[in-house]
Amino acid sequence: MLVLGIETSCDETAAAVVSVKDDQSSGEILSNIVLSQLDDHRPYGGVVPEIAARSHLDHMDSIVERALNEANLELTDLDAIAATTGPGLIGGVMVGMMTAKALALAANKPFVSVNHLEGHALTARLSEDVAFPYLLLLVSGGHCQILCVRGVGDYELYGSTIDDAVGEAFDKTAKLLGLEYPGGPNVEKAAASGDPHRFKLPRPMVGRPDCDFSFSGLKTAVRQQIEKLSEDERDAQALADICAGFQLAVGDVFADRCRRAMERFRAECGDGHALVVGGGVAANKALRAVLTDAAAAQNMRFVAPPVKLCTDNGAMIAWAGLERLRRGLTSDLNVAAKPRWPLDSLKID
Amino acid sequence: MTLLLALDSACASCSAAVWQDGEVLAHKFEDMPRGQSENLMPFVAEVMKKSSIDFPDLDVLAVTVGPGAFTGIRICLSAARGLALATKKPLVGVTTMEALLVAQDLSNFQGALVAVVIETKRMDYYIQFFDHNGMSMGEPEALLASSIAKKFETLSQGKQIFLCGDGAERLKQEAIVADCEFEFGSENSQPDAGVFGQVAMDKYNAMGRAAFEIAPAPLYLRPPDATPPKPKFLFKAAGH
Repeated sequence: MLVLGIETSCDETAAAVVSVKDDQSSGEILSNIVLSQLDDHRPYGGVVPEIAARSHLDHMDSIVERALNEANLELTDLDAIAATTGPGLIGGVMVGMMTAKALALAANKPFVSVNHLEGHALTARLSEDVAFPYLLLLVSGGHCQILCVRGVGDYELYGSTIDDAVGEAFDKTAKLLGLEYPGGPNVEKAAASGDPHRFKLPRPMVGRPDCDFSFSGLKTAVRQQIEKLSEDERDAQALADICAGFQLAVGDVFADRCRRAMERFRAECGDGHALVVGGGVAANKALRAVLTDAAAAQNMRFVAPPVKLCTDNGAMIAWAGLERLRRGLTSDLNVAAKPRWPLDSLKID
Repeated sequence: MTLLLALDSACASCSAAVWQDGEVLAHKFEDMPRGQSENLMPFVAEVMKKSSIDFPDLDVLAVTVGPGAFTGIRICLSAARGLALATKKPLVGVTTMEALLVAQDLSNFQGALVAVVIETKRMDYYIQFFDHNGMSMGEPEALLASSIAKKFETLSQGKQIFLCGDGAERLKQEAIVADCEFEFGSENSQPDAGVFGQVAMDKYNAMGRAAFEIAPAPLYLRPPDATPPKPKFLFKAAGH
């Protein structure tokens, strides 16, 4: 089974071909082309939707062509064409979605509409043999939630952020410090040489009985700490120490929130299942280490897909499309792009 | 015999048509300020089916490239570029100005200055000037009414001004020109694949397949609205 996946929901123009043999559960990536728009957005300190949409259109067809060439395939060889149809920046989503609809119609192949978050949610099953159910921590620039993944299209939301997504908190902290966009990786880099205990930062939501997150207070606390520093004190070490303190605070929040979620998950689903992390923030090595320990403490297997599959890519969309196709879940060409589309609304009858 | 598929969603409508030489085999058009991304491909599927044409039978594809609504331009252009990739057929880009002009009968307006005017939903207008033979007198531009009024005075030299397009009515109210007689085009104020397919067919016949191997680019006429921020708290080491 061969599926082409297209992803354009934020600032990556991506296409990939993924295959699976009938007797296998995990897949094989035949090509995975990702064109990052970082350089286009960097001067603005964040993703500018109109710039993103324009860039997606300029490159989409050639990225698809490259994905097919690298996989040594023609469109006619494929079993379906999948694309992100939301949630995300709608102008960009439309470009990928229309490209996929056109390819599907002209090549007479099924079109599979894929929820971007479902792409992240199922990625672990592409790279490793992970059975349902599992607990998913989905952390990116736009999302921060913990879900019980019972099957394709079957998600129960345990908790989510009540304000900023965690990746957003990283980016905003980076902005306060004058670090270049994208802030997340730059904060992680600076944190490596910092003292995480020099600045006292809060641990929002820790100890609460639910599984929700909040990061706007942490960002405010970072700003207040910066404001206390004189111009002379704002040196490279202070910057590193703030980043380290911020990252440690996020890690402590992750550990506590995931512990709550794992307790609930084990009570509902039993033992022997996995904690899976997905989304761009899963590229952060310090946070991966925190989650590894947190899972071990609950006797849960910890699964983190390779970094290039955690950040936005076409392979995760191709894979989610393939998982849907295997279950006969294809889409009509009149599907609408959705800026908001929570995973727990996907329930298949 | 040349078979052509044309599609559009660049302004406030959605259309698709299959052409055989100078004749429309199947055609669908709807006024549609929203929802084009849902309807465009079903429209294409419908006209292909109605004309009993399969994609490999086509010789050439045609699409509007703007100016118009940014999202609308991207909907039809990404679809058309996807079709071109899948079918390996050439893709002819038609401006919305060309698409609207070809719908007008200029035979009774000898000597008139012709302006195609497209609504921007902002203060300005997308506009392009033509002579009474439909020959362009410049590129499409985004202009305010005051600039357009000045152009009317210099270009029309007291002659009739023929306006068409969905911005024509608003422009007449806002571009105050002394001693100018305005005439309005027919009601076709939206691009229509069942009409502008002819423009693409003519271009294709005149320039040949090789001229359209590279996909056409969008014509936005405006840069994205974005200005770089000024950071407030700069650290000495930041950015290095």
